[in-house]
Amino acid sequence: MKSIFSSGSSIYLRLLVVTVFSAILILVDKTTDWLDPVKRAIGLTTVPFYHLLDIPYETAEVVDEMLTSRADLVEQNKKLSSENIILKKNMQRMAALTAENIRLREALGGIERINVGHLLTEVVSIDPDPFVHRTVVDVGLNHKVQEGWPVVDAKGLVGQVVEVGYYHSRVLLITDSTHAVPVEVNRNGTRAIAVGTGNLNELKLIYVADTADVIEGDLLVTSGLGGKFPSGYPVARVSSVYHDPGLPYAVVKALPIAELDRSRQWLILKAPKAQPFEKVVEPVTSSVNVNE
Amino acid sequence: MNDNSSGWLWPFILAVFCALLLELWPLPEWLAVARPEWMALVLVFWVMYQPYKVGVVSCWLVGLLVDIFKGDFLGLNAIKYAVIGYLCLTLYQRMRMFNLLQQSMMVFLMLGLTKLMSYWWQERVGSVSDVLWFLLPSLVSAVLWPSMHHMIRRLNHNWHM
Repeated sequence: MKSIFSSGSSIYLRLLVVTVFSAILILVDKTTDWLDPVKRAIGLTTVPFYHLLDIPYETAEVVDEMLTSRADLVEQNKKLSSENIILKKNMQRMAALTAENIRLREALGGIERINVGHLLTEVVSIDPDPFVHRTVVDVGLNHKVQEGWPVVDAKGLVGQVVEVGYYHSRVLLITDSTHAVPVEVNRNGTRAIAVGTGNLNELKLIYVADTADVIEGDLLVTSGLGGKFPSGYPVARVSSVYHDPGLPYAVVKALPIAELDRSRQWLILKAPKAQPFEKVVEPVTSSVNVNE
Repeated sequence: MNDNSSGWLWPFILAVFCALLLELWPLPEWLAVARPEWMALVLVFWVMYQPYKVGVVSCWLVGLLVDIFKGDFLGLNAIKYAVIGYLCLTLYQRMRMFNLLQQSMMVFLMLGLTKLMSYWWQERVGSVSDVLWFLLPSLVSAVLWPSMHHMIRRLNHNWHM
């Protein structure tokens, strides 16, 4: 027979057991990828869920498309064709410039830059926690997405893929407080690290010397150092530089260029896996066995 | 409600499903800061009225489900909901005696406490924000508790569960 007062020790024991279990799970999940197959398998059930949540937005888009007036369409068409002409003009020079670039690189004995492929994706869900800047996009292992691939939109760098499921993956945005990206000032090549602040409209540059040549309005592009992101993608524009005599480094803030909270169509870049630095082969003469 | 009936299961699953939808529903940032902790409210309600059926372990399993849906580290939400389940199990006899205002305050205390705890965990493993806004959902949940309590009881009554 059940007593009116449930036995306290038993629920205490259960809590203890699940707490220990959770702690082990968190640590294993954080430090290894052993749990990934399990998460992927259960994650399959989440896919219809995300699409279910997306229905109101998709409906709004469809309705919006149906209700667009002719005048709006004509105007949009005009705008797009003028944009197209400008882009085409730029492309004409692009071919010549690319060829020239390759020739010069060959002449200098440099390595040819790899033209990376891309994958068009759509954002299907954003993280419910406003302090975590992560989104779910609609491609995964079915398109051979790999962890670590960079994500860009039409304007600039968005973030990187951090988790891959069968039909979806998670993208960590550059503004998340756990994200950092190596950048350089486009004007003069000064290197820095752009760290997310948890605010969608702000990045901060860390370890910038007070004397470094960084001014307001500077364009920051990926430097390619670290091997995660290909070089040359626009990341942010410096919005303020503050020199505090009491601080060891300048306080530099920047505004991300990509439309992180607006665009729905993103490109995942199929970046080649970063090669670890080659081990320096020691000259034969120096490998003298000390024990002898 | 009769503790021996098995009619509690489907409403529970349905409520968990709805809470999951509401937890993940995309909201604008200014509103998302105040998103109520739907899942925690649902668990508090069910532990309070089905203490022999829904307990620490079922709360923990629901938490694992939430972890997978939110893409957090496995176990982060699980431990939080397990503690909520534990607190509720120790308090449910008192909670049933309380009026709704007192219950709301208990809900705020329980959710706020577990929120602080999971904040600490999150700090261990990575990302946190450095403002006190993270306690706002607990407050909003407490404010919503009476109406939610009313609604679920009403539904259960209407369906003879």
